[in-house]
This record gives sequence, structure tokens and C-alpha cells, in this order.
Amino acid sequence: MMSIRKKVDRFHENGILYIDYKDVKLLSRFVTEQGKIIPRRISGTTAKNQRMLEDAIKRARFMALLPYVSDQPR
Amino acid sequence: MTRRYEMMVIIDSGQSDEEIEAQIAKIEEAISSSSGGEIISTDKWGKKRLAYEIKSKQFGYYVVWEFQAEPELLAELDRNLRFDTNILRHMILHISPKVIKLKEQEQELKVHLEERRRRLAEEADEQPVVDLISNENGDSEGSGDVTPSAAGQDAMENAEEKAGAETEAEPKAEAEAESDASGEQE
Repeated sequence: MMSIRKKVDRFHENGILYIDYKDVKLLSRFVTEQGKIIPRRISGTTAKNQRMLEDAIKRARFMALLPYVSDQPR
Repeated sequence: MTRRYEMMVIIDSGQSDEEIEAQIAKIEEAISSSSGGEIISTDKWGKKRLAYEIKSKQFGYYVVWEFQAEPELLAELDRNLRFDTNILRHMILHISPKVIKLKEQEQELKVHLEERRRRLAEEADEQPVVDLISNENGDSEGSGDVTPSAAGQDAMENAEEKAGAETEAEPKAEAEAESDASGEQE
């Protein structure tokens, strides 16, 4: 049988209502090693939270908290 | 009408500590000296590695403020920061009442979640027997609903029920733990 994995919004799970751009540790989990934002079809984030997440990641990138592109793993 | 703002500034960390402090003081002065201007909090993150080079610099000194000010101040503040060559980057965000509310709600939610988690962990430590009972209940709930011939739709429903059962099981487990504990004591 094929296993169907239920999509879980990790913000919802952890009681996060406002996604802050300063929380680099949290944001970095929703970014690939190259620095790309992980699509919600994979992360399971709700549409609302994905929008908020995108804003937060883009702000964090502007303030050099997250890279726009990175190939070397830290 | 004053508004709430949040401002993050990256100062060139190649300077001496005194110079950095002087710059921080200068910015704070500009805010607090304006009409209605008031600094709510100052958070000095200190020297941090930049995710990418800015003006061919690898490090920057981060400072985050929360403040209250008239919207008229912003243009001036922004201009001063932009023309200052020792400021690598800055960003001023308006904190809307909606965001403030969300943050408050989040705080409450987190306290609740943590309390619940802690209580469950304590109960699991102290009374392994109780934990077993609650686990058995959880399993029987799930397996009772799942039939081998379950179609795709049923599987989906079951998945939802399981997810629901997980959250619902917590208060049940608590209640059981309490009743069991009292039973043991007697």
C-alpha cells in the first residue's frame, strides 16, 4: 500500500501566528541548501502562512540574515 | 498619531566600539528628540556574519529597535541612514495593530502548548503505567476505525481522525492520569 502522508503546517503545529523575519533559525528550515524557498506542496505550509513566510524570508535576505543564493554548505 | 515601528540597522563593524556606540546613540537621539518619538526597546545583536558581502564586508553590527514615532519622522530617518556610509543596511517596518495582536496571541498560545507538553512529559516520567494505558486507548481508537478494505476516501478520513485523535487524546490522557493517580493514592 502506498503510504499517504498527511500534510502538516509546522507553524500551526508550533503555535506560530506571526512569522518574524528575525527568526533565522526557523526560516532556514524552509529554505533549500541553495537558499531557495521550499514550495508549500513539499513543506505542507498553509497558503496564508506561506505568504507570510515568503515575506519574512525576503526581508531576512535583504538584511543579509539569509543568502539569496548559496552553493557552499556552511 | 504616532505609529509603532521596528527598525533593523547593520552598522559597519570595522569601526571601534566607541564609534559604533556613538552611531547607535545618534540614531536613538534622532528618534527620541522628535515629537511623539519614543524608543520602546533596543536590542543589540552585536557583530554577526553577513549571509553575503555588503560593500565587500563580511561582518556587520546588528541593532534592532522598536519605537513609536510620527510618520513624518520616517522620511528624514530613512534619508539620514541611507546617506550614512557607515550604515551597511537598514530597514524600517511599520508594526500594525494586527501584528501586535497576533504576537500577543502567539505568546499565550506558546505558554499553553509548553504547559501541556511539560505536564504530559511529567506524567510519562512519573507513571509509566498510565502512559501505557493512554497509548492503548489511542491505538484502539485508530485501529477500530481502520478496516483493511478502506478505500482512498476512507483512508483520508482516517488520517484526519488520527490527527484529531492526537490532539484530543491529550486532555483525555491527562484526565486518566489524574483519576489513576488518585486511585493509586487511595
